[in-house]
Amino acid sequence: MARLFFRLKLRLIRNGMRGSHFRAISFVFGALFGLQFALFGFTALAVPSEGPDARTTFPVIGFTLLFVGWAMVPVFGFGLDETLDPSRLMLLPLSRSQVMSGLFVASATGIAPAATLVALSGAVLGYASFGIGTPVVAAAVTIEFTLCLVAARAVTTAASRALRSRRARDVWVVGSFLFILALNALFQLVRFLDSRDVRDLGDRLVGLVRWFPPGMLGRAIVDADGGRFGVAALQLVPALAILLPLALWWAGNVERLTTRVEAAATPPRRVRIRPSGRERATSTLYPRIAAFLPRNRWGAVAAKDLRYLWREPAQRAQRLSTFLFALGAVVAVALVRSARQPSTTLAATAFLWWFSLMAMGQFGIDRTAYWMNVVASGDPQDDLVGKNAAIALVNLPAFLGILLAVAALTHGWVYLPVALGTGLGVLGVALGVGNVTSVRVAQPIPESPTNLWAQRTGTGFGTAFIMLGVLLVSQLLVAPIAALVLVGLYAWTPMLAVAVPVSIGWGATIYLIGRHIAAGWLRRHEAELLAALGPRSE
Amino acid sequence: MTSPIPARPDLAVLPPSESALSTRGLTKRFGEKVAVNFLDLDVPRGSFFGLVGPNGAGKTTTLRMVTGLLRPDAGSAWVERVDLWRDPVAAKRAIGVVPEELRLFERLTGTELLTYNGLLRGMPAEVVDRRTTELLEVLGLDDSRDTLVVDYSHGMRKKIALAAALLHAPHVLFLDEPFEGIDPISARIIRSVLERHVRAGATVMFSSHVMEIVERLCDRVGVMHEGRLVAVGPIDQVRGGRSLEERFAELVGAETIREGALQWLDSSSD
Repeated sequence: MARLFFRLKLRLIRNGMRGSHFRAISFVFGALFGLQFALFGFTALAVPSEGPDARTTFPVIGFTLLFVGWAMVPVFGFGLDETLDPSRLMLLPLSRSQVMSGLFVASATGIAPAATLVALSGAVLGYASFGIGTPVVAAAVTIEFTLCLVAARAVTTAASRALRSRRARDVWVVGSFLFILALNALFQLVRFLDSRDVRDLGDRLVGLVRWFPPGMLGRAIVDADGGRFGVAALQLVPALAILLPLALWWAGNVERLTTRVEAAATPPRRVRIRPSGRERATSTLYPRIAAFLPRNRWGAVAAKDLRYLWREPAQRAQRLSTFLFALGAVVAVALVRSARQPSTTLAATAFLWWFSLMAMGQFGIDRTAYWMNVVASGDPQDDLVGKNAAIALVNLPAFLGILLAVAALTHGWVYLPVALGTGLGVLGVALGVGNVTSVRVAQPIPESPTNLWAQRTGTGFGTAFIMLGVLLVSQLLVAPIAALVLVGLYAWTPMLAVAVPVSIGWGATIYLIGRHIAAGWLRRHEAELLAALGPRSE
Repeated sequence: MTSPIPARPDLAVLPPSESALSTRGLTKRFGEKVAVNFLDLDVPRGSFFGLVGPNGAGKTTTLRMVTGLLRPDAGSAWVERVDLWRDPVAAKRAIGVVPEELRLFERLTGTELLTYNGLLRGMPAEVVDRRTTELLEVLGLDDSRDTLVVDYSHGMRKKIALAAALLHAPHVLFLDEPFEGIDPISARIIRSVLERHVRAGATVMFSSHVMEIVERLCDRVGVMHEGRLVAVGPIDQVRGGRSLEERFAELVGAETIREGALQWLDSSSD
């Protein structure tokens, strides 16, 4: 059975690359990354740093991080690896132990486990030197490897049912996006701290994790290296002790998943837009911030896009992270004295530019549902206008908020009209260029239940190069606005007053030209746009 | 290398005046495969037309080409005598579509999806309000009006797509596999709505694998095989005194299991 699962896993890896250059390239990159990880880990353990601190702390930290990584990362990949989901094996006449051993073997097959094993085996060379401590070090490595695999299996199996529900996946996507953002913020915070503080924090962390089973395995290696074989052997016991309950938890979940009929994971979600029970049907489509929009084609498209910005998890996560990042920048302005110049107010325009980059692929979120627009008689230019309106309705208030906050922090109120004017110009340019790219280089945003970075994996390399070119063009089109502001700031102040009407006029012109080109093409090629929004293997 | 599609000198130019849908020389190929091959078809106004054929016969491709969703490589399609690909705005005003494989705007609720569709078509908000409420009620979706479409069952999706297609009371309604994978109750509701629409003078054209449904509902049928129409006309005429399934199998050359095959199924496995 183990051999069968081993071959199944290899077959799945091989077949996964068939007919998809993107997946094949991803595999190569994955293998290179795995190789790099394996070499780094192996070298770090086989040739430990000479400092006594590094030699003793690295195994403790390394073993702990490895365990946490194995327990957490596969959940991100759930649904991508066919062998990870025991419910797929439900209909096969397999006993629980057969399923578990098979899943364990599948888990141990692949780039990540191979890289992990190679990395860990460095400890035998660096901490045992094939001497008397070798059995203890080898045992620690084996237990760590097994612990990682069993933890990964136990966590993915427990998450298996939960992640099947659409709402749980939505929450997961947004939650994990914010988690990564928070982690990044934490790292940035650490950079601000004094290096001695960081060292103290590190020491305290090592002191804490060395008492957890994976940390104790790392410690066992250090003790074996120091000739304390008895203590080293004792430190293996906690890890062995948690291995059993972990395996039992996993087994219990496998059994529940494969033998019990579960109720629907989540009841359908009712969306109550507003509390009044007798509102008009058309009003429910329009969110509060868009209630004033007309009840026509472009108004409906804008309202729908605004709904999607919140209800589509990938969109929601992107918007939230963008705005949180902007908020972080405002906080940085508040904290860093050198940034508190009145003219910093003008820099807020850059955020509007950044927010508006979403205009580059405005139809991606519609995917093939765009057929509804295609079969509806009417001018497809209204679709562009509606989508532009949605972007403006989301980004302008956010821009205004940042602008006011920065102006208040820097006392740069005098720059407020200039920032507003140039901001409108920048938005016009972004929408004008974005309208053309949205119809000519359309890409669907892939819907992946758990892959956080799915929106990027759907972009072919060719399209990525085109988009880079597009970014360059749009930056060139924004350059005149930036030039006026720079001249106004550093050479001739009255130019700032000139910049306001010129920027608005320039932005409006680029917008109208871009919209005209895009709408003209779209009127003749709606079917082609729909085809481009269909699922394609890269 | 792809083989060229042969030219057709006898291409008729104008569709008959009584046709709700006409195609002449409609052709589509995907790489090597010719999915639809010079399709000439006339669907009379007020008819209930069933398009049948085995998998890969070209039914979905045909329906997409006559609704503006897929550009043909050659040929023309007229809806109510308006050339769909030359004057799409006028032609699309007359049609409603329920596609099979394409998704819906799933992050909208049922009510929102219908109102979105109505406003897309430029209908007055009051009319959209009234018809949305009635359609949701008639199709049994009233309790799910505020539920996101992503949480709808397969049958509910079919019904909400039908409601969206009917909202503007189209003269010609195209449905791709409307009865595929849905429960008998939903099928019954959809059937009665379609019958009601035809009785009111509209034309309904749908593709299906289920011969019984086509026999029960349609007055005309077209049988497609390998991208071509191999039989078309009033259903009794096409059947020729037999069941539609028998006639269909004869037309597309259905294979039967050879004598003596799968004998091991006679005994239970151990």
